[in-house]
Amino acid sequence: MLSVEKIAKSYSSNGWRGPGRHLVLKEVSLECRPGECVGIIGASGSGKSTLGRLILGLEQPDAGSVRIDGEELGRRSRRGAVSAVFQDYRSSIHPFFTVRQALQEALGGSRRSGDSKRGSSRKLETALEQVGLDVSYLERYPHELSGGQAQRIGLARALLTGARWIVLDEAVSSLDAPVQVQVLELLREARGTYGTGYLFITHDLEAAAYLCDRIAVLHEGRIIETIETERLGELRTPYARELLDKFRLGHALVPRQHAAITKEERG
Amino acid sequence: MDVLEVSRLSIAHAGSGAAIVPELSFCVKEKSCLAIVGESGSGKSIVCKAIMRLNGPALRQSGSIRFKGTELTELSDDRIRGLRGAQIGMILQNGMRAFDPGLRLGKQLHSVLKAHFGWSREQSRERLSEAMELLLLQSPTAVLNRYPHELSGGMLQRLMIALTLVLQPELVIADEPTTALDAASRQEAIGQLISLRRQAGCSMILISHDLSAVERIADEVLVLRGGMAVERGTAAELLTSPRHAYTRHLVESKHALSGRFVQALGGRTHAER
Repeated sequence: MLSVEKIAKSYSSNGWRGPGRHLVLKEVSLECRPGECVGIIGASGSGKSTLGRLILGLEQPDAGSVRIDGEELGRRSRRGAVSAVFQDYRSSIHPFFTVRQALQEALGGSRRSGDSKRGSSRKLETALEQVGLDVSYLERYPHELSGGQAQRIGLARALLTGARWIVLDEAVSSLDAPVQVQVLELLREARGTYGTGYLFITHDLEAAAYLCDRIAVLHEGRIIETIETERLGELRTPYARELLDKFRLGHALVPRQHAAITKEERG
Repeated sequence: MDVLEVSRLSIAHAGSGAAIVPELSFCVKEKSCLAIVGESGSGKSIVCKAIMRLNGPALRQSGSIRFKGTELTELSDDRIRGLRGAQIGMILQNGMRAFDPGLRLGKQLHSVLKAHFGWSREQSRERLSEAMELLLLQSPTAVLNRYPHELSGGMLQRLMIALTLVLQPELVIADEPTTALDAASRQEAIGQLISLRRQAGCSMILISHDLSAVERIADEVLVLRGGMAVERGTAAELLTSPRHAYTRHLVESKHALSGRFVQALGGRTHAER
């Protein structure tokens, strides 16, 4: 079990408007079972990326803790347990690294345990196959990848670390619909194969509903509501309802009755 | 009548001669909105830049682009510059990159209005505030005193729309105006583009791969693939009964994506209908 307990985080803002502290997260608690997928939904500035960074141990909380199976984790021990895929993989790795080098780096841990060179090469190929790419991609550089390919390699890399949880921070947001479906499907598959748990951070309620078992709504640094995906329509808090309605409006394509509303509104 | 007529437009790399857009013809009817849909690399942005003559010397283009009867390809660079903004407006994807980071927004928007209409600072401010109020933007004066980095992407997008509303161009080219926004601001931006169309009474080219934006804003759709038009028709037609494999794939993906969301809300999914 990955549990976030009453975590708080603030940043100092020493801008030209004078010093102050900006409270980003206020007592956020969240749990994610192994193999579970929890969506964290929020608008820009709601603190959702900060939450992801705290879970990854990229930053330290002011208060509260992140625990795995009850054990509080320091920066080092968390390595290997939680991994991440960010919005654009092309900008999150060294531009001079080939895909092989980037994936090899993720294998760092297992090389220590005495993997042969050939053995690790085989692992990289399997990892690529799992995300639907062939071996030729190993010699490519980040700029030679399309957005969807880059995200798939990011996923391959996260899976190679053998992490039990993966933080997906807007991992599909910049992709167009067909590629989004492709990557979301791969995430589903990987979860089936490895039992990996996901913390799916996004502003896209639709993508969250596609992948997640539960959805937590983050607003102004607090989780205001958590709900099972099947019961999404029963959200109660005003902000969450407002968010839901915006999405409903956006999906005029699907339910006919909403299409009628938008035509009227168009006048 | 057609506001814009593009015929036999072809664009190629000047060096290698490789064609990006082999040959493309389309037109935009007066006061209507044409959406150009296609995957990245299909040439949709390059076509619009060709209309505005914004492609660099590395690209070679031929063909005819007629705007209200005037052949744009024959105009001097100066004439084109006068046309941009005032006659043909452009709304870009990324507000953070479209504005000068070192200038207060009011000042840079004023410089545009001064260049086109010779307005004083007060006049510009007044007209901009009016436009911003029409778009339901709160406290316009405070916003105009800010620098771009102090505002969110959605806010900058709204300012671009407000400026376009003041300029009242005949034709607006909106290049992925909703892509860089988070999903909630996206819905607002769509609403604002709709009211821009209504208030300014302009024609529009909407470049997007966001089908829900296309459905709500556009009248007609052109589907581009590898620089070629593979399908065209009215928005309603294309989204309900797409013919080309790519368009079908696009529409189906959209339905697949929203399927579980719609189901969770108790609606019927596309597959069940």
